[in-house]
Amino acid sequence: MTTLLRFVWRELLHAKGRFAIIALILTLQAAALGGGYIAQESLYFTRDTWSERLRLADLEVQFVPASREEMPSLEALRAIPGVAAVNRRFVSLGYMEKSSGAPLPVVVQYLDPSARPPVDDIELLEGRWLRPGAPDLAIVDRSFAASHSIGIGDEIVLNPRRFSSRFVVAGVGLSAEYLVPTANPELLVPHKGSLGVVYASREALDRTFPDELYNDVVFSFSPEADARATTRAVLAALDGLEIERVVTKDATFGHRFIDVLLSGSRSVTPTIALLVALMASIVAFIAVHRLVAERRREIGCLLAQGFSPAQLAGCFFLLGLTPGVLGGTAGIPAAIFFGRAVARTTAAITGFPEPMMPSCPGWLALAAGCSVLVGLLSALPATLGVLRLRPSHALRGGGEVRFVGLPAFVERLLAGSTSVRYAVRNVFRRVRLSLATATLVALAVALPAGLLTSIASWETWAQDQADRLHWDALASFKVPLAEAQVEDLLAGKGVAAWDGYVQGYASVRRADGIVEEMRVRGLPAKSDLVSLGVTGGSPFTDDHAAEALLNSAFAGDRPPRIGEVVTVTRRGVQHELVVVGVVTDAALSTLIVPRGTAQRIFGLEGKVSGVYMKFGDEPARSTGATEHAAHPASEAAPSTDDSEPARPASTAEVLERIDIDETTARALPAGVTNAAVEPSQDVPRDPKSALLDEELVTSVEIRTEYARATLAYLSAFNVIVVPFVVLGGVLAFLFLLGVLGFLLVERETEYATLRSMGYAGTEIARIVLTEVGVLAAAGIVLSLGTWAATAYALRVPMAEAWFWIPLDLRAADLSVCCGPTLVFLVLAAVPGIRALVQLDLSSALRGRALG
Amino acid sequence: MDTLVAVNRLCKTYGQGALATPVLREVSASFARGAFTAIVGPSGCGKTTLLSVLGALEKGDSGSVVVDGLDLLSASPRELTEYRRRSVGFVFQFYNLLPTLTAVENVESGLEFLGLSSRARRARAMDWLARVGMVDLAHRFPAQLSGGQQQRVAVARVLAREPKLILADEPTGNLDEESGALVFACIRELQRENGLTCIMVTHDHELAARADDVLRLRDGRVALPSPEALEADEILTVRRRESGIAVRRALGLRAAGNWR
Repeated sequence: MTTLLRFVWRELLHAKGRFAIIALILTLQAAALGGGYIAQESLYFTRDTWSERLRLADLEVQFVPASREEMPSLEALRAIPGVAAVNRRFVSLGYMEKSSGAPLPVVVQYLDPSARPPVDDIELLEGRWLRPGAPDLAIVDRSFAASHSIGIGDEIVLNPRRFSSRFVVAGVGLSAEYLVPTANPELLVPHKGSLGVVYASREALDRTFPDELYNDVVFSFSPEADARATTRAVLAALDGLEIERVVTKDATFGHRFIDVLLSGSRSVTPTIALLVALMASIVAFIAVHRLVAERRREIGCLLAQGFSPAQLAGCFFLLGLTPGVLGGTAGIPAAIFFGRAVARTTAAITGFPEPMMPSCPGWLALAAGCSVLVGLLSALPATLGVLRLRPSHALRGGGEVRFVGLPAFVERLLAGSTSVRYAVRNVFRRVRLSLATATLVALAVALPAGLLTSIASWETWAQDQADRLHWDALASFKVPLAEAQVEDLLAGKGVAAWDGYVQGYASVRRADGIVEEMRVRGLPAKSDLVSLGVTGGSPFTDDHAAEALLNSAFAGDRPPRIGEVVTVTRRGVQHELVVVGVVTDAALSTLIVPRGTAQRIFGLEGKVSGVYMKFGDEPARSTGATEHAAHPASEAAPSTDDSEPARPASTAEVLERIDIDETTARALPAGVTNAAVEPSQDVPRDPKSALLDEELVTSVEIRTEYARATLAYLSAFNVIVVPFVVLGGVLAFLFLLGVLGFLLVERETEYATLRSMGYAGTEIARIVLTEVGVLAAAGIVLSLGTWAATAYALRVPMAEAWFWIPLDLRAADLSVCCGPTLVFLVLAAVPGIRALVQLDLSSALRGRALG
Repeated sequence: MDTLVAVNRLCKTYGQGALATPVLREVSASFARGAFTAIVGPSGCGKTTLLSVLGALEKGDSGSVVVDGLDLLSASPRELTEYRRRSVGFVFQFYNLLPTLTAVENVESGLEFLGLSSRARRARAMDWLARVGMVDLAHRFPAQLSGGQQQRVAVARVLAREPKLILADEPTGNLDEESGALVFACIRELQRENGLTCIMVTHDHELAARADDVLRLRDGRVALPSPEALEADEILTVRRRESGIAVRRALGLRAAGNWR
């Protein structure tokens, strides 16, 4: 056995380059598999660690602002069985102007400055916490600070053109509530920097209003608490309040976004790992197979000396195991590195905090084990081949290929000089090897191209979604407004047409009995501006029908069914609706109902929560069938001259028209000024800014901005594809390096013969590159199929996790991936060409010509 | 006779330091234009190395090798490539045909740099295959030919290029006696008929005796022939003359044609 071990050891040393390539490929395989899972674990771990450390609320109840006296005391709430901690706060949405002048929505949480919040705490990353007696101090969210270069000591002016407030940044903090901040939490598309999050002292609020107002209570539950029972008890305790929305921890945008994002990437990781494993196994199989083929005479000699086939098979098995073990071992740090890089990239794209790296021994062991397994399985066929070898047969060699031409029709296609024919026919000398090479090239191109296609399909889908919308902007109001009020509000802001929607939150029980807090959006049954986007079933029959549309996206194992009856419960009143169609939106937990029905559910007859708008020069007009309401606005602020543009109603006028507490409306805050910054008459205000100038407008979303942000977000994920483009290219490079190394050694004498006949280095290079070109071309042709198959294979699990979208196979994506692979292929040929050019002709020609 | 190749104090050593192995030690020889010279000697005496230096397959360390006015030791790589293209042709022991080219394509492969049209290349290749008796097998691949047939194709490949110098490294060493005799006769007759210069390395004294001249190497030096060797040479010279015509007839060789 000593002889055999020595034989194995010397083979390892002799073919160390080839084994190093196999080990490297298996390392990359482990990195792709382990790294993919580690990245996901890292994002989960980071989310959960911050959620736990900062005590992310298990339950948040949002309600119409109420004074302290109108709501249960904190002690009473804390005494509810299952409640561990409770905090109340006031949360408002305003806006600030960026340095460009463009408005940016800002969420302000007014907190008690004397103590850290017992629930939904903020990790102070920089600066200092709020302090009593300093109402102007504020903490800003780290993502907001980073995106807009806001630092300690900077001033933030909130609502600069209406009830403005000024804050000085005292610190930068991280909140578990805003791990993935977005201005539009309705859609599952994070938009880094689109939302400002400010934690201000509630003293700033208290000096504004005579009452101590709250509109938000957050609870954390005891570990042993029954969440459902505790939630019921909490809602019962808050029964006197006008509850707007109930948010569980799982429904928090950042929390849920990570779940959804990772459910998609987790679903495709095995497919990616399988493809990389396939590539690695091709490389390892060919390498070990060649090694055995090259050593046939030596094997025959050892067999003739009395060594058993099993002993020799064991040797080659050991040879196959070695790179597997090396690759698996090296794959552990590589997986950690790759996982960290992917996690950090994802975090950077989404605005997620710096990922924390958990220890993932299970995934690392799986990744390393798979590499060892692939190494072993790849060595197995060659090893079994050794078992079948007879000494006499092995001693005769027989590794050489007997080339006797190509089929006549192929021969007819061969044109060009003799050297070109030589190069092209060489491709067919070892058909299986050439096929393996072409397959590897095809897979190397297909994997990144498939990933790019996935992203491109999302981009196309998002663009299509945006294109099918006929509105230019969407505005939501602080309080529901009647049509006349809306018309008055929109007058003079460049709005040519509008149609209203109604939105609120309600408990929805599906046919399977599961109750979920959902966003219920009432849309007009027929509208020039608002498209329902029904992808299955039918739209609403009329504006008051007891019908609903459900979202098929992110439905998981609860896909909507046409004809399903859902029960919407709002303030104890149940409304049964029949699902007549489905939509496919990147939104979670949304039920779409006819607008009139929504108005009935939320008790908002004749009013809308917001509007879809079309900009233009025409005066504002409603296009929809909003229930007609009185027109106090037109009476209060009539236009005196048709030639003059409508004068925007003042805040006081609008507040007067709507039924809110006069005391609240008129109690202009100390230190807070109405219209502190008067709009300049010289500077034209864009419609968005003009709308946000209105106190009653909470947010304005411009369709093109949303579309751009979505596309930018999706495009950012192309960065994640880069490692796979490189990985595929490197694999193809390493494989071809090995294959060409072998082939050139095999044909060394032939090239030396050509050199002896006067073929210069350039001619030799041309021959080798022609052969590589044919292989590459075959690989590219093959990649057309593998690309589509890979894109489909990636699409299917992602569709199961998210939802189905059509594949958009773009030639540009394929060519982007072909480029680096082709460059790598040419580079792989360079060492071989150099070796051939520098060949010791005399020594090479003394050897026996193969063939 | 006019000298085509002049070798003067040629030295060649493989390896360096303690592993340095001198192969050629101040070898001097001259080869006449149109002559058939055999190089003989025991294994490791430097025969093939000398042939490699003459064919510009490797460079000597010192001395000079002048072929038709070109000093191979000081020539540039471009000049050496041009020399290999136009002035010299190799016949190898193991034929070294390109396995994915047919017989005629193999012959054509040597004609790529002569500026001929593809039709002219094909015509010349077929002509030479006819001269070596291989025209019927012109479209077969090497794997479909016997050793002797492959070597005849290799000979045609060399001669079709019309080199000034033919270098043959044991061209019959891998063939049985009968095939070897046919191949040798083929080379010899064509060399003679076309007035080519040929230098052949061989272990076969019988073949060497049929050469116009014999260069003996021993331990990297030119050795003087022993009296026994001289006597054997004379005997073989007679046999060579007797067998030549018969072999030519067996091969069906044509007389030198209009290819020059």
